[in-house]
Amino acid sequence: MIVLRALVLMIVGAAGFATSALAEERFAIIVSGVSGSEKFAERQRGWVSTLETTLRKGFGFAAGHITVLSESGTATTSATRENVTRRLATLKPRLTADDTLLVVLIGHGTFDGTAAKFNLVGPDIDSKEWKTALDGNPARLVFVNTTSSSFQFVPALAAKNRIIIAATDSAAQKYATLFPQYFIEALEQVAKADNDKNGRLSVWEAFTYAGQAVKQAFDQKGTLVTERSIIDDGSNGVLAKTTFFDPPPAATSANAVLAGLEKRRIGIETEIEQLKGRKGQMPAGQYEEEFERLAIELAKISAQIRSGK
Amino acid sequence: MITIQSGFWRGVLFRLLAAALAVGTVSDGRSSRVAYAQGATDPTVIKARAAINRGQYVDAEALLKPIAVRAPDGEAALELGLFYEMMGRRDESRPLLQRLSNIQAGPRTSASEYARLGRAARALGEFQLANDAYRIATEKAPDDPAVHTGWGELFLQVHNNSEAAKSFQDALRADDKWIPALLGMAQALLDVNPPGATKAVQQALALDPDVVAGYLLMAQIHLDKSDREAAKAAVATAKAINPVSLDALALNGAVAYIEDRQSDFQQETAAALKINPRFSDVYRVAGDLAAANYRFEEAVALSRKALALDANDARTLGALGVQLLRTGDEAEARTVLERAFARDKFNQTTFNLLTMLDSLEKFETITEGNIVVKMHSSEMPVMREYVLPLAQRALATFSEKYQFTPRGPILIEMFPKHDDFAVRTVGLPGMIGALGACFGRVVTLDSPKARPPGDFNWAPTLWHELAHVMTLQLSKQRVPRWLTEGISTYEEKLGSPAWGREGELTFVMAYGRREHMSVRELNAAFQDPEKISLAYYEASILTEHIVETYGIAALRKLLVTYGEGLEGEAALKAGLGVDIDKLQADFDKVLAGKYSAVVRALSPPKELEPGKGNPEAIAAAFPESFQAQVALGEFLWKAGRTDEAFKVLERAAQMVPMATGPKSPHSMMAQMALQRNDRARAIGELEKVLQQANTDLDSARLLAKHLQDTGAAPARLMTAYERIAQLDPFDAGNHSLLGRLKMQAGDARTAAREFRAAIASGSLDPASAHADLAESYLALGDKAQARRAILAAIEVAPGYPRAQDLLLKVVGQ
Repeated sequence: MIVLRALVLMIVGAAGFATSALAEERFAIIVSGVSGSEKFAERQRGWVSTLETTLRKGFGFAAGHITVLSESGTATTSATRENVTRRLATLKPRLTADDTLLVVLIGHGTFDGTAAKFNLVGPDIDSKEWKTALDGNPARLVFVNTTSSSFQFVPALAAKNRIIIAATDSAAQKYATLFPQYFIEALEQVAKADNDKNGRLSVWEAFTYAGQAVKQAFDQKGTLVTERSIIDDGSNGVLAKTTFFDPPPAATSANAVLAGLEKRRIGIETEIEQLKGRKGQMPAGQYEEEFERLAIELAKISAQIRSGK
Repeated sequence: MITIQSGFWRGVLFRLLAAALAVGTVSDGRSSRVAYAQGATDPTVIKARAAINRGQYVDAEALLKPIAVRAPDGEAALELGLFYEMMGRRDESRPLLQRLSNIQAGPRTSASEYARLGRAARALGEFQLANDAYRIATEKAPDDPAVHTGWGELFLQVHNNSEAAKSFQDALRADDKWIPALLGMAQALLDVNPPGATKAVQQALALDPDVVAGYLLMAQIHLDKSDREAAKAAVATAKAINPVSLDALALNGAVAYIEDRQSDFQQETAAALKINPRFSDVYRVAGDLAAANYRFEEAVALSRKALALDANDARTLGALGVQLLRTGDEAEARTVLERAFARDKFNQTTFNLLTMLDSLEKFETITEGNIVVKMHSSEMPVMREYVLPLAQRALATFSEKYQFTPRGPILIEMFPKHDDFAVRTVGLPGMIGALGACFGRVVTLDSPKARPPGDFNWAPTLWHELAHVMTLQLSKQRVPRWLTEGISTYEEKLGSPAWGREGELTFVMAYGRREHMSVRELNAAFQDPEKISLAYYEASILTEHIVETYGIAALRKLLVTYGEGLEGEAALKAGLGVDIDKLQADFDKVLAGKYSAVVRALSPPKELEPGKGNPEAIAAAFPESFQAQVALGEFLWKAGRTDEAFKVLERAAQMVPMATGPKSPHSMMAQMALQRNDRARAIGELEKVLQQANTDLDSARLLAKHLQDTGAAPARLMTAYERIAQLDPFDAGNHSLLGRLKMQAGDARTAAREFRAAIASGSLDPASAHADLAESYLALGDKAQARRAILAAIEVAPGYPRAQDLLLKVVGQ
């Protein structure tokens, strides 16, 4: 797992990005490309089905906002070049800057030294063509290419307000990937992947979980790791950490006390993140003391909020 | 003592008399052919060399000196220089050799002159110069066996045995009766092809039965096979030819030393030092032989004595470095090895050991009582939870059982790279089948990361090696290999029900073919790559028989008896009160009682060929054949007649309960049960598979999954998780699951260990893992640790309600 560009130590508090979470409308396009064998076909079908169900039931994506294009689809739902470009084109006018579009590619990818492609039914679309198809889309884009040789999609698609994830970080990684299995597992089992335990799954958390799980799977087999995932969000992880799969929480309580507590909670969380950012530059004892003070305060306020007082 | 996983690894651990051919010893030439074959052309030089071979040193010097004075660049001068070197008279040797090595070579310089230059330069340690000289010499005289032999001997000295063998081959191609080349070839083959080495020596001795070096090489070959009597006979023959051969005196003294004949050792030492007061090999060879017999501390003392005579001898320094490593003194080992390498940069073993010591600097150390554990810093956080407690338990168990407290510190080193383990153990990479080794107070082994998960289990390996600590120390390092390996493998089986069973089926099959060893043959089998795996298991059964028949006290007495210097059958008689024939007869009965029925079941009918014949008919015709029943079971399964298949395979499982592998009855029944979604049955079968297949990680994971899915009793689930934790200690998720079960069972201490391991091995859910750990500390009443764990959870996940609640609980708010 690799993060393109150096990660900043101190991230902006979640409060600063409250409005940039998956807001308003959320759309998803799942493209399950050509499988090559029944074994892969069965696996892809399973992943697509789980992903679609999870987005719909787990994260509340509207059924009409999810498009599945697959190898076994009909004339309009088959994972062909025409259907992919058509779907992106028809979606574009519906999207606004407040919306989020999630694109997940499942299947096989290739890279011939010049062009990286995602293998569709019939002619493929290379990374440059994907870029053309996606350009002009006003919504935040979360693009996840889970295939082998997917690395080139990251530099090709990276742009402002985009989170681009690839299962592999070099052209040499051309074997069938484990990444989709664990990426989808992260979405399906939020409790496991919700690293900061705030009850919400960010794109960053899903990416991190999948990357670590892939590494662990290779370690357990005792084989060399042949895939390392990569992410680029143009903000050293901040955008991915503040973009969530679930809808934003309901508006702050009308209760003024609770609203005040909520505001204070967010403030302390920000202070904690800032303190963590300074950890390396201060004496350990001082850090621990300060951290504990903030943690206790946060725990008390959170308890009050949970009890509704 | 080395633990072998499977198969074997070739190579002899220790090497004596690394360059016995330093001086070209020859006989007095019973035939002109043999005399010529010694590489000299001057008849006086030939005569002098013959005198040296017979120990007539005064005569040899008298023959050589006048000629050397007249012709200081000639053969006699070289021979005299080498003679003085052998006698330790360096003040006299060096001017002669230096002159020879400084000759002004030109277009007219002959091959013989280059060869003399090369030989002189080699004696002076100028190996590059020697190599250049021999290269030119062989170009000028490509058919001269003496020149090729000289080059080969140079390669031997710089530890390049494969190039040496090529040179000797070139020499023998020119003259297949060239005795020095045959002896050189024997040396080059000693480690890699002992039978080939033996043959070469025998050929040399057949050509000239008076070549002392031939008998000494033969003695060395016998010692490598632990045949000390034959070695002594060979040395005696050498001494009969040359009673004052320095190498013969050194080897004879060394054998006397390890046989605890101190006065004989001192006598041989004194005799050698009288001839050459700087002859450090009297102690070096004894040290090497002591080390080869696992008496490392004595070896260290002997090597130090050798260094007192010749502080700069690279061979002694290298040997001492290895010996110090085996006593656990790594700091001094490094110093000594660096000195050795400064003097001999061609020694791959020394280089490897120094590189390995560099990598050891990335290791962390934990010390508890008299146990010191070293592991790579990437493994220590996880493995410290398991290694030290297991080592403590093993030593406590053995100490009580054998009524003996081993001397510490006992150093345990675990290597994540197998080649580092191999280098730490024998100085060279490789040893593919070896998992662990013990030198008495030092244990080395592969760590779990050295091999793919499920390839081996580190825990029984460590247990096995620590049993060696007891047996080696209790016997003062004199326990024979069969007994120490037998006890270690036996103790492995007692350590845990699933440990140490891997070799059983292979042994039973060999027993059925009558390929097992008699008690008398057992020790030698540990040096036979074809038999070593069988020897381990057979020795464990023999140990079990000794314990059951004579009791643990008798076994202990046997170890002590060896320590008192008794050997072989005499030790058996004194230790157990039984002669070897009676022991053999009883052991035969034990084997027959234990395995006859299995052997009968494993005897395949001729009619059973894979894919041929009607399995039902064959099974009906051979109802007592395991293979026939298994084949029928598989046939019925594939035919969809699963109920019938179960019945057949159940019976097969009873016939050969130790069968393992995917085609074993229990494994097939597990697969069948899963196919028809009979999880309860599958679970039962998988549990039986794991009773025999200690390292079957896939089955353990499958079992855990089905136990988990079916809500099985926690105890069964715990057993499965524990097996996974042992086979793959870096599976963070499994540690968390096991920890939670332990918490449920009220075992907060073990739960805390598992949660710590989960965190250290990179939990995918670190906040939960820290919170789990905090709860276990709270259950143990350790609020300070709990507080730290909670804050760690909150650091990962500030908004984590569970951690926040725990924090408020701990701070009392």
